Amino acid sequence: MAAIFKRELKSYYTGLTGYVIAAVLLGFTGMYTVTLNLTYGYPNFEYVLDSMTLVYIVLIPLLTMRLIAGERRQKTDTLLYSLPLTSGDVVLGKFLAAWTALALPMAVAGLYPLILGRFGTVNYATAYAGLLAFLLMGGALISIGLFLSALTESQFVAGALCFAVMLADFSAYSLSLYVSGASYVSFMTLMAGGLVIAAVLWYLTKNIAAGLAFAVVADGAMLVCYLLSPALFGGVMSKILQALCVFIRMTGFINGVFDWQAVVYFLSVTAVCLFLTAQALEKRRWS
Amino acid sequence: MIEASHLTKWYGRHEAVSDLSFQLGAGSIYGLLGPNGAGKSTTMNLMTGCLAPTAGTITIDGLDLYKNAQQAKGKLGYLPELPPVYPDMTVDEYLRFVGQARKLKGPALQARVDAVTAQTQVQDVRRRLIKTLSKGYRQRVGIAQALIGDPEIIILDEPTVGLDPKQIAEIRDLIASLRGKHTVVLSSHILSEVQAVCDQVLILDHGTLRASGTPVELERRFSGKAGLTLSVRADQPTVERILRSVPGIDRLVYTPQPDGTAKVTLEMDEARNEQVFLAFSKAGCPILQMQETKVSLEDVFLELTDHAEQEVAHGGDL
Repeated sequence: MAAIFKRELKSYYTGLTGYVIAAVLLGFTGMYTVTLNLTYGYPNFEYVLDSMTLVYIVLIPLLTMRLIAGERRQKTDTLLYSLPLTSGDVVLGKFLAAWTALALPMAVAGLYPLILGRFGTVNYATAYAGLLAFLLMGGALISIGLFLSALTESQFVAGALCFAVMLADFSAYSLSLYVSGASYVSFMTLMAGGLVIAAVLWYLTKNIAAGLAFAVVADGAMLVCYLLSPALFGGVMSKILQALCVFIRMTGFINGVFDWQAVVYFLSVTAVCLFLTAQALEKRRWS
Repeated sequence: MIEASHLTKWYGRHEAVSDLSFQLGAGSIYGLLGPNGAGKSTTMNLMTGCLAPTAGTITIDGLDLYKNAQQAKGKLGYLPELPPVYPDMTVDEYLRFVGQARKLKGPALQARVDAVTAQTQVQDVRRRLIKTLSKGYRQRVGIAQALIGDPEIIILDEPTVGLDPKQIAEIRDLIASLRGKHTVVLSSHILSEVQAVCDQVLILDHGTLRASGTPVELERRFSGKAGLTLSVRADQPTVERILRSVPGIDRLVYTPQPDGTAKVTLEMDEARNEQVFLAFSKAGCPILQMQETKVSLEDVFLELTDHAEQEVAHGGDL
């Protein structure tokens, strides 16, 4: 795992990617610090971090798109498979390298509250709790990008897919406020979602029976539930969109609350996506 | 050392390897020979754990490659058909990375990097980025990574493909130098290469093992009997009388030649070249020419694979 971590981290700084990420993060942090803390005089560094989450929509694809797709494209995945490493080692090494490339510039940004504190009152607890949440959220988003990178051989496709998922996730909470709460809307959307998941399952397993079975069971169960009690589906879409929104979990920290639920949420998303990425790597060996 | 038992691999509806079983002993060089699409690369990917079989098992020194993957893979070094190198790393960085992944560290790692760069003759490009190297050097770097962990088994998939004749000769010498210390398995569709470096040959076709043995054994097995062609200056009764003292001659064909000599073709149960020579010598009848008639590895390959129309590269094509 350590060998993979070192190689990946170094590769960020062999090319421009690591420097671009650092420049974007530090540039935007500086810009928002000047605007929010210095110009408007807010003593809360966490407001800066809240504004910074938007940057993840672009940075996460940049950080993760080549991580596994690149190995497949340049055929170095056979080396990883033949080395005495587990898929977990490979995935964890790559994840930690990407997360470190994100955390290093933010460690520099972590000095800003201390600097601001020399000229006024800064709430260090909320500032550093916000920084922790920002980094944990980054980890969760990186793990999503890493999983998407394991699904394709093309870095471009992986990057585009990741960008689309980040944008959709960023917008999920806003969408949830506008989506209709009518039962039939949730029912129809969930049925369509079931079919999409079945299609993805078919694509991943190359097994049409598995895809069909999932579609029949999932959509069949939803149909039965809807026929028995349509009220069950009232407002479900809105709740699902909110549950899927990673970005909104920062809200508690921005309001000065150390939100343990959000911490568990970030760590859970990270663990699930890393597990799925390791499974995607194993699947290629067995298919 | 390596035991494959009833290996089968399906890609969707295509059976790439079918019920393949073999055992490879320590210290020898084995050649996997077969036409394109015979299943050589799939077999090698199965032998290194890069692919999992649909059915069957592989054990390395008694360790199941899939149940004890890390231990078993520690005994393997693998060069796939395309060298798995990172273009953005220098040769040194790359070899150190592979060494670290193989649990080497500190002075031991440095010593192995020094040893394999010397062995594969890449010392002069150690500080260069791999993307700036020629194909020949990349191939050597690929071999160096396969050697870095000093593994007992080295698996090389078409190690000389795309190289110029000088580079091919150098890589062959390198492979030959591994004999005794390592078990080497190399795949090729170049007959002369297999004949030149391999102690044992496994001929694959359509994912099945068609024959195995030393090149000489295969030639003998498929020629059926040992053969000898002589040129002598003697009449047929004399030749028959002389050869009566040599046992095991199943067939004798006497063909007079216009220059007064005769061509004698013999089929024997086994090679008896010395006895034939001594019999003529004792009778005071000199042999003007003597040549073994035998089936070549190429004939064996073509007979087994039945792909005469397919690409079969010979030494002359190198």
